Amino acid sequence: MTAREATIGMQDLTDDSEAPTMFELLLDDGRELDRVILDPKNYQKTLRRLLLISVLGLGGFAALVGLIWPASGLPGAASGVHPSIWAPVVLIGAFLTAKVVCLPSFYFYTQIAGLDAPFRLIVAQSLRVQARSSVVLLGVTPFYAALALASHIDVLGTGNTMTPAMIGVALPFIVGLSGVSSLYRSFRRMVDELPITNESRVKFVMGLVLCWSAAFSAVAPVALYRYAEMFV
Amino acid sequence: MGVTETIIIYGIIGATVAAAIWLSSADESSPLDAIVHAALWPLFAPSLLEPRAESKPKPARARQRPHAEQRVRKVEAGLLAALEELDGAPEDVLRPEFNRIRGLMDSLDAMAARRDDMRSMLAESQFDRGLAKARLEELERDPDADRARLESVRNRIKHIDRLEQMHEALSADVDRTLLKLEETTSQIRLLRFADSPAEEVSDLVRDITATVEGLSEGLMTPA
Repeated sequence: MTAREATIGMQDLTDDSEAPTMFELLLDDGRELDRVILDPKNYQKTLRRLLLISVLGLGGFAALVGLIWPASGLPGAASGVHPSIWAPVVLIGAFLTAKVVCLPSFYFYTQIAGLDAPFRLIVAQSLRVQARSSVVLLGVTPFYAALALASHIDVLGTGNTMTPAMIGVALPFIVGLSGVSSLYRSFRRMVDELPITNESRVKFVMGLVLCWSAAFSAVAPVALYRYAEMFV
Repeated sequence: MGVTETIIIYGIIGATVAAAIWLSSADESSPLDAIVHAALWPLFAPSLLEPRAESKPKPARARQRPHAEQRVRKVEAGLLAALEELDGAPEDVLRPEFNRIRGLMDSLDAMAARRDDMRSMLAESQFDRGLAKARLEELERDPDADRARLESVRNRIKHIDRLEQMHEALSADVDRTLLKLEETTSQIRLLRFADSPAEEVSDLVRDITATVEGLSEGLMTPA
């Protein structure tokens, strides 16, 4: 490691065991993660890491939902491909497609809000939201697994096997609120660093984050439905 | 356009983006990275549209300054070169500092131009102190000398004195500022080893800008 890499805060995340991993940065969700995202030199590496964590989190959770899907009686339970295989594809594909579709809207909402953020920052922040949500989703997965097991063995004696599957579909959206709050805190911190084009807008960060959430919430369920149609 | 055609076009654009990213950062991309770039090119394409951070930015050239002496041009070039050498600070953070330094050098250039104007005026015969003193002595020796003419020459000498004082003060200020800038240049070069060079650079540049602005305002206020 050169002297430059040793002294500057922006270290390469692969070649120093003491540098926090992207997973730790997402858990911490502080200024260090903002610095990593703002650093243009490691931009593609940062994106790949955020994508990897997003995919792992969504895929792992969806595989679990897919395991209990056949018992739910919902459409697709008896399809040719086992749900634990197509559920991750559907969830990952839908969420990433929704992100890509919403990116221009995210960029324009940010500009309208008065924050002159470059497009690469918008991409990185949207993946940050997804990665943060995936990390929390991984944390929630054991609880969901317990719920799914309990419904499978019918602990409560209700015979209801559909509810856990429906909860499994809704949970990524509910957990996504943690990603949204991470986005809000991050933009509040970045307001001091990014150029402001319109200083008269009050509480513009809150409005910006709400617009991002609304756009994604409108597109993601549609994408989820369309992807699921391929297998159901 | 059906799904197949969409996938084909998506794949072609993805391959193009992946190739462009691979060409622009050949020492970092692996085949797996290339596949990811091709599959998710909408997320990676924006990185191609912005200036590369790894490549050295266009060298910040010192502007042509016809009034500035050699030393001002040299100091400006040294300061800009020191900022370019800073590796730790993101380009977005350094760009305002480059602009601030250019503004600062414009102010310093204006000060140097005023000093040169004053020097030129003092070189004219009308502002030659020796000639004016000699003229005053001549009029004082002449008993028939007009009081108004005596007063006029005395006032002219006062103006010459004032101009000389202003020239000396301005020269001292310019010299002091140039020394401060040279000191700041060496401080910025040491910041390469700092943890957060961007913040310290901003503080240093703001400090020197405030000093030069204060000096410039002092010149504009009437005596």
